[in-house]
Amino acid sequence: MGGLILVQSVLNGLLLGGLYALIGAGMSLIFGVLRVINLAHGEMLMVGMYVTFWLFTLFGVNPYLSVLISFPVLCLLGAVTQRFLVGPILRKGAPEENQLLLTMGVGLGITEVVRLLFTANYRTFSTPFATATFTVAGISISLALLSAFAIALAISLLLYAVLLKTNLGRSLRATAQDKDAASLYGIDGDRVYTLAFAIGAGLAGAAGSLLLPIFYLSPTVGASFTLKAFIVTVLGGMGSVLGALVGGLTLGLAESLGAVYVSTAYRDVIGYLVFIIVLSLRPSGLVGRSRF
Amino acid sequence: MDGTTRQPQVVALSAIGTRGVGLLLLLVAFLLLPLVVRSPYHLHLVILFLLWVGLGESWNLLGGFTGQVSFGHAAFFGVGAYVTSLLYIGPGVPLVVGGLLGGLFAAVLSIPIGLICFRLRGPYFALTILGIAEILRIIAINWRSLTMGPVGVLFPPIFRDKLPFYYIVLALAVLTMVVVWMTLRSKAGYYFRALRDDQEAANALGVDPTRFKLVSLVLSAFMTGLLGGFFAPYQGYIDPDVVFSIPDVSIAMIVVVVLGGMGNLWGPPVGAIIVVVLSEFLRTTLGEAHLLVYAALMIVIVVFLPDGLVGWLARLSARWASRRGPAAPAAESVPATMAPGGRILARGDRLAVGGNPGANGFLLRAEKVSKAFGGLLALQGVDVRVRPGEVLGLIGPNGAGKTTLLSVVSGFERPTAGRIYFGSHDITGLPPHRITHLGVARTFQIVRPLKKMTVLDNALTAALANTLHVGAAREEAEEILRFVELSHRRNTLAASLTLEERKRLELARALATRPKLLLLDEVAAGLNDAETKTMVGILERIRDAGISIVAVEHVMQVIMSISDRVVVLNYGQVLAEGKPAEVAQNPEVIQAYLGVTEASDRA
Repeated sequence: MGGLILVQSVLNGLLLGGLYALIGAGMSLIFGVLRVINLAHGEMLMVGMYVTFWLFTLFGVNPYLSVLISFPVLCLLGAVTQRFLVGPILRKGAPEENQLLLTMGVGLGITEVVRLLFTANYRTFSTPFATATFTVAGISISLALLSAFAIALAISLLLYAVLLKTNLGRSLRATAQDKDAASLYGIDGDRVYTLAFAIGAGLAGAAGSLLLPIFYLSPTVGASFTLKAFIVTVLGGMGSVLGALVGGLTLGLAESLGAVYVSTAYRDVIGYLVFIIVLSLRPSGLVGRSRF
Repeated sequence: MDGTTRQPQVVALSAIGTRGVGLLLLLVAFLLLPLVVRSPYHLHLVILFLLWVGLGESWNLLGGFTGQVSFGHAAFFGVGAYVTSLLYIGPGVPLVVGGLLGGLFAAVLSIPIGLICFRLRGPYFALTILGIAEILRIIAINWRSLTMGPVGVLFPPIFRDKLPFYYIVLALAVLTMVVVWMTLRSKAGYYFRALRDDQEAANALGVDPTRFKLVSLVLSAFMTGLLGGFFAPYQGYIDPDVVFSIPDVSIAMIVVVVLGGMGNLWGPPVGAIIVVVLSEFLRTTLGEAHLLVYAALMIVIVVFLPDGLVGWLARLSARWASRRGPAAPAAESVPATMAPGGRILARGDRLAVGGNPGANGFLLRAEKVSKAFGGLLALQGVDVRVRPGEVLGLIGPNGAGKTTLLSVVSGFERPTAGRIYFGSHDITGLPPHRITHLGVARTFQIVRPLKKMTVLDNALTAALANTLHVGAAREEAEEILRFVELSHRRNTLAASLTLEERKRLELARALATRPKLLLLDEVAAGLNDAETKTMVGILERIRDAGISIVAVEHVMQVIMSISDRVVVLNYGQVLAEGKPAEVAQNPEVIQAYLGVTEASDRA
C-alpha cells in the first residue's frame, strides 16, 4: 500500500512538474537573453488563465485549444512590456535593482487591472473533464493533469528545437551571449530582446491555459507563480531552458512528496526549502552551466 | 490632517538649508502635533505615516543604500509582531522587552538568509527573502498551538487612547532615521554605498562584500522587527495574512521608498506621506483598485525618475538656483590648501610605507602561475618577481595575459596552477579584499568609479581600508586628492568626471588603501600628451615614495620612463625580461609586436 502511494505521488509530482517546467522555461528564456528576471511572470500566467476562463465561459472553447489564443495574447503583452518599459531602462543602463522594481510594478499593475475588470472573486473552472480520472494498475491519473503535462512537454521541446534549429533561435542565442557582437553580424539586438520577452511571456500564457482546469483562479494567484518560476529557473540553472525542465520536475516532485509525507499544508514550504538547499549547495543549478 | 500634509515641505527645505534648526523645529512640531490633531482618525493617519517612515528607512538602508532589494521584508515585520505578541500574551513579557526581542529574532533570522544569498550576484536575495516570508506565513497559519493559526492573536487593549502609541511610534521613527543617518556617516555606511555602486571596485578597495551586506541586512531586519512589535499592540490583533502580506507589507515598503527616493534619507518620509494620504483618499474613491495607482506610480518613477521625488525635486531646485544667479555656492571651489602644480608629497611622507620583503628579498613572487578560461590558456607557468621599491613594466600584445596576471595577483581570478607570495604571505586564492588589506592595490583598465558618490567619498572609502575613523580617512583622502591633482573636483559626483579625471581618481583610490605594491592596468591609455606627462609625473612621485609598481601599459613613453625592469608577455608566457632599453632591442619582442609569421611557432 505504501508503495502505491509513493508511485502515485511521484507520478503526480512529475506531471505537475512538467507544467512548472513550462512556467520556468519562459522566465529562463527572458533571463537568458536579456539578463532580466521578469517579476511579472506569474501575473502574466494569471492573465493567460483569465483569457482561457472567459473563452470557455463565453464561447465554450476547450482550454487546451485556447493555448493558441493565450499564447499570442501574452506575446503581445510581453512585447509591449519590453518595448516601452524594460527596454528603455536597459538602454539607460539602470542598475539591476531597478529592473526588478520595474517588473514587480508591472506585475502589481496587471493584478490590479484584472481585479478592476473581473473583481477579486475566486473562480473555479468546472467541467466534468477537469475532474475526470482514470486508473491504471491501482494508480489514478487525472486526465486534466496528464493532458497539461503532455502539452507542456510538447511546447518545451518545440521551444528547444526552435532555439537550436532555426534562425530565430540562433539570433536569440547569439544575442544572449553578446548583444553587441551579435549586432555586428546584422542581428537587431533590440528586436531580439522584444522577441525573447514576447515568447517568454507567451509561454507563461500557455501555461496559464493548461493550469486553469487543475487550479483555482483569482487576480492574486500570480505572485506565488512568479516565485515558483524563479525557483524552477534557479534549480535548473539561470538562463537554461533545458535546465528549466529539470528544475520543474524537481519542484513538482518535492511538492508532491512533501504534501503526502509531511503535510498538505506545507507543500509549498517543502518546495521553497528544496530551493534554499540547492541555492546554498549548488548555486549554479542542478544541471550546471549550459546555455539553453 | 492639514498639519501632517505640510510636513514634507519643511523636511525638504531643511535638508537643503540650515539643517540643525530646521530639524529641531520639525521635531518640536511633531511633539506638539497632538495638541492640534485631535481627532483619533487623523492621529491614526499620522501614526501610520510614522510607522511607514520607520519601515521605509529600514528597507532603504538595505535596498537604497546597499543596493540589495528585498521583496520579503514582511518576514522580519511579521516575526517581530508575532514574537512581541506571543511573549506578551503568554508569559507576560513587557512590550518594551518583547519589542526588542522581536527585533532580535528578526535579526537572527536574517543571518542565514544573508549568508546563503550574498555570496551570489544577481536577484537571488531579492526573491529568496520573498520565499522566506511565504514560508513564515504558511507556518504561522498551520502551527496553531503556537500562533493560534489563521485566526491570529488578539491583544487586550493596552492604552485608553492613541496618544501613547503616537509618542512611541514617533520615537521609533526618529530612532530609525537617526540610526540610518549615523550608519551612513560611519565606515559601514561608506562601504554600503560602495557595494551598491560597484561591488568589484569596492572589493578592490578592501570591502568584504558578504560581510558588509550582512551588516546592513541585520540592522535593517532588526529595525523592521522592532516596528512589527509596535504594530501588533497598536492594531490590537495580528494574523498571518496581515503581517506576512506580500502586497501590504513587503511591497508597500518598497513603494514608500521608491516614490520618495531610494538611497536618500528623506525619501521614505516623502514616500510615506504620499502613500498614507493617497491610500485614504483612493480607498474611498476607487475602492479595491487603489493599488493600481501605486503600480502606475512605481512604473513611472522607475522609468522616468529613478531617484524618486526627493531626488527629482533636488535636481529641479538646483537647476532653478543656477538659473536664478551664478552665485550658487561653488561645489567646485578650489581648497586653499591645494599646492600649485601638485608637488605635495615629499619623500617619506604618509604614502611611503615601503616594502616588507619576504625571506628571499622579493616583495612579490608569482611562481609558475597558470590560468585557463575553459580551453583558453591565458597564463602558462608565468614567473614574475618584484623587489621592494621596484617599478616593473608589463607589456605584450593584446591578449597576452597581462590583465589576467594582475587579476590573479589581486585575487579577482583564482589561478589554475602555481602560487603567489606577497612578502612572506601566500596569497594564492585569497579574496581581493584580504589582498588589499595586506598591501596590494589595483586599478581597473576600464575605470570603475563609484558613480553615485563624490570624488572625495570615493577616495575616503578607499582610505577606510586602514582605519575605522571616518575623519582620519577624510584627511588622508584630501591629501591624496591633492597628490593626484583632483582636489578641485572633490565634491563632484564621480559619474561626471572626464575619462582622464576618472583615471586619476582610480589611481587615487588605489593609493588611499596605502599599498606597498600598486598594480596599474593601463592608467595612461587614452590620454593625450599633456595628460600623459601629468600621469608620468604622478607615477614618478609614487615610485619615489617607495611604493613598488607593476604597470601594464601600451604607452611606451610611460613604460620607458618609469620602469626599472620590463617583462614581456606573449601568449600567456614570459617572452623576455630585462632593462627597458634591452627589451626594446630584443628581436623576439619586436617580432611579437610586429606580428612576423614565426611568432606563431612559439605557441
